[in-house]
Amino acid sequence: MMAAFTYFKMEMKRACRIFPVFMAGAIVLAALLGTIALLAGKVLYGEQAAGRVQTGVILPEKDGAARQAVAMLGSMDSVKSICDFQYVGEEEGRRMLREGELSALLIVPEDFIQSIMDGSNHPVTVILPENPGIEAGIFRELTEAGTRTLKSAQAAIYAVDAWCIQSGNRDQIPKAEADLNRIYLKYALDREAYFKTRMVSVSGNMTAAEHFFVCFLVLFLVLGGIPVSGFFRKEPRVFYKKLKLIGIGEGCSSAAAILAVSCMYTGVLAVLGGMGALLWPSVKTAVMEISVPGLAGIFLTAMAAAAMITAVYELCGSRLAGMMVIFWGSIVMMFCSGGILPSAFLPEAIKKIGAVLPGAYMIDALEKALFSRWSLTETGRMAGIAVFFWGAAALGRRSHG
Amino acid sequence: MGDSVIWFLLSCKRQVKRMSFLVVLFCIPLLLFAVAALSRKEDGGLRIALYGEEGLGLEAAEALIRLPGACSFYLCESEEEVKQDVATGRAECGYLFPNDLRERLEQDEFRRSIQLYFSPATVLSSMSEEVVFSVIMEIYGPELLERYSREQGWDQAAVEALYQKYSADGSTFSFRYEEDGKGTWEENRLTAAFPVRGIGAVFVFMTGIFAAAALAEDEKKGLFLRVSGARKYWYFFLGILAAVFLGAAAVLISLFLTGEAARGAAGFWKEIAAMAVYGTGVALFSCLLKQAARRGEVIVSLTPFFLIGSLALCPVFIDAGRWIPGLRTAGRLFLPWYYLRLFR
Repeated sequence: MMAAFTYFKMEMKRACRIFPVFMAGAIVLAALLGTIALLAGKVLYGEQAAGRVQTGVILPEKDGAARQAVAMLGSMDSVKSICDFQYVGEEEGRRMLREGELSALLIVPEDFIQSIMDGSNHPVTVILPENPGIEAGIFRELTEAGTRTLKSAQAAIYAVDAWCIQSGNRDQIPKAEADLNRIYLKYALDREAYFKTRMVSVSGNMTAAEHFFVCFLVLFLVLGGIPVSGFFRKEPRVFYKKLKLIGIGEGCSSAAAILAVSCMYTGVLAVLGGMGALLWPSVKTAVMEISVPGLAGIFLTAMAAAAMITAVYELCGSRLAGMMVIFWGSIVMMFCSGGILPSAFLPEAIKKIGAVLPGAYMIDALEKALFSRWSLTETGRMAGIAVFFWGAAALGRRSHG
Repeated sequence: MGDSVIWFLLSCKRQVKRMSFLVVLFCIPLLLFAVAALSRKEDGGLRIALYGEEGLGLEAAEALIRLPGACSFYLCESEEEVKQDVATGRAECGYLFPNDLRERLEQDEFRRSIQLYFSPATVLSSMSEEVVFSVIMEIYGPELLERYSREQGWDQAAVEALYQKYSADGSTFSFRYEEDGKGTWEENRLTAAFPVRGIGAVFVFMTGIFAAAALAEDEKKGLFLRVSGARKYWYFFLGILAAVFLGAAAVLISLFLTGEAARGAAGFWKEIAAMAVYGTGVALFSCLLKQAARRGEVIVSLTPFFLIGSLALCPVFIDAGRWIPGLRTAGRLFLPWYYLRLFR
């Protein structure tokens, strides 16, 4: 027992030597992510809409009415919050689309306004880049929904116009059109008013930003295995034989390594949390609200991550291979668990796989620890992950040592 | 020249001698092939839960289920099931339609009548609101016209027939969608494929940096003692290039296996040439990094910066520069940005 404790102290000493370098990397990373978040916040919550979906508009020549109509459309709040219109020529517009400067190109047909008025309704062509991405898909869903809403009003007005002409009551057309415009606009103008929103979550009250912050934390924990690689140097075989002679087997030595790495992770999180609390009052409030079980839960989650990292290095037996496995494993695991792109954009098969990977459980656990109530279920899950990977680490150490 | 080739080959041999490294290189293309294959499976789109028992609410739910597009609506047995599906992430969001929705619309008491459940992970609720509303208007719109024509004393059946005619004959406003250079864009999907090229580019970049850190340790152990002057830096470069070459080969195989590689003979050579130039650039950058940082531990401590910076600022998952202008400039600081630009 004393030998095991002494060995653990030695591992902690080794971890302390690496800690300053690991901490420096974490601070640089936090500064980078803070800059990205600041820029993103300015665009999402700032006054200017510029920089959102850049949409090129190609207007027919000498059609002032079309230009006015598009300008009016572009000045509406709901459009302005999503799109930024730029008037371009066709060749220039297609070039900008190919080079990624535009997300979509609208080609307004000749006599656009006239066609709406006379009912021929020449369609507007929306050109999207080759292999349209998610934002193009969202853009199309929104425009299709708008078209459906507009269609019901247009069809009603055309039907009434045709009826008035058929029944010899042409003089009723202006009043009927005005009445129907007023009726349909009343229902269609303030669409958000129909919905009463309520958030539901297995992890308590949390905003989307908090959820993605937790996803970043888990990504940081798993990818943190790369800068920590200096801790996992391969000792000579005789070293492990000597350890065994004094009663420290693979299980014990792996456990000591896992505990040491867990302490490093917890130390980094504590320092970053402290720095955040000093700089931003909201972070200070959030940190002060973490309960004691929540703090224990954060340590347990860090231990689960540390166990995964240790198992990878011990099974690979080499630092370079271990770093490569951590890189690919972390990215694929977090991608499938919805920790990189929102799970809304993931195929169903990927979502099902992601739901059973350790990353998904770690995200749930940290959400409970930080924003809700830590429970025995999370303790069981994190302990289960830690024990499983501890076994794998011991196996790896035995096969290589 | 002969010495350089021998050093390069020996460096490659040194890497592949480690069975784990070889196994990892072998597994990368297989893993990516599996993930890419799963990503391409048809799965019905963005799932949105609905619940409605009767009346306009149930009609709207049934119409939404039949609606083609990127959203996949489905009916739940109860309100609790909707909440559970949204909370656990099985559904992006969920809608509860009241039984008296039609009456509320008629009496102008429609505000906050439809319950929308969302979770912290929900990102597309605003888009789905527009889709749900548009379908409600498609169903209720004719009823508004029917009420108006009744008030005017017109022939309701005739007016309704005219409404059906104009809503079905394509005479109302519409958009036409085209994919640049390919013609009509038929299918709308909101699912993202795993970005093999983007992740592969970042992987090659990180391999160079890892190799620089490892060689810095080797230098400390005396591997380059017998080499001096410029030759030492040249051998250092070759050592990093060996690791980068092996990583790049794994990525190239992955690109061809997953179908993301450029097609045709010209595409094949473009891929090889682009990766060769990129790999050489990565090896050169890693050499310079090693010279600046000196110690392996310092290089390794910088890996989170290069890693997250590449993932977030280069167009790997999304092109952040298109949304946040400042980030496009920041992305140019990372080598993967230049490689990915070749294939945009």
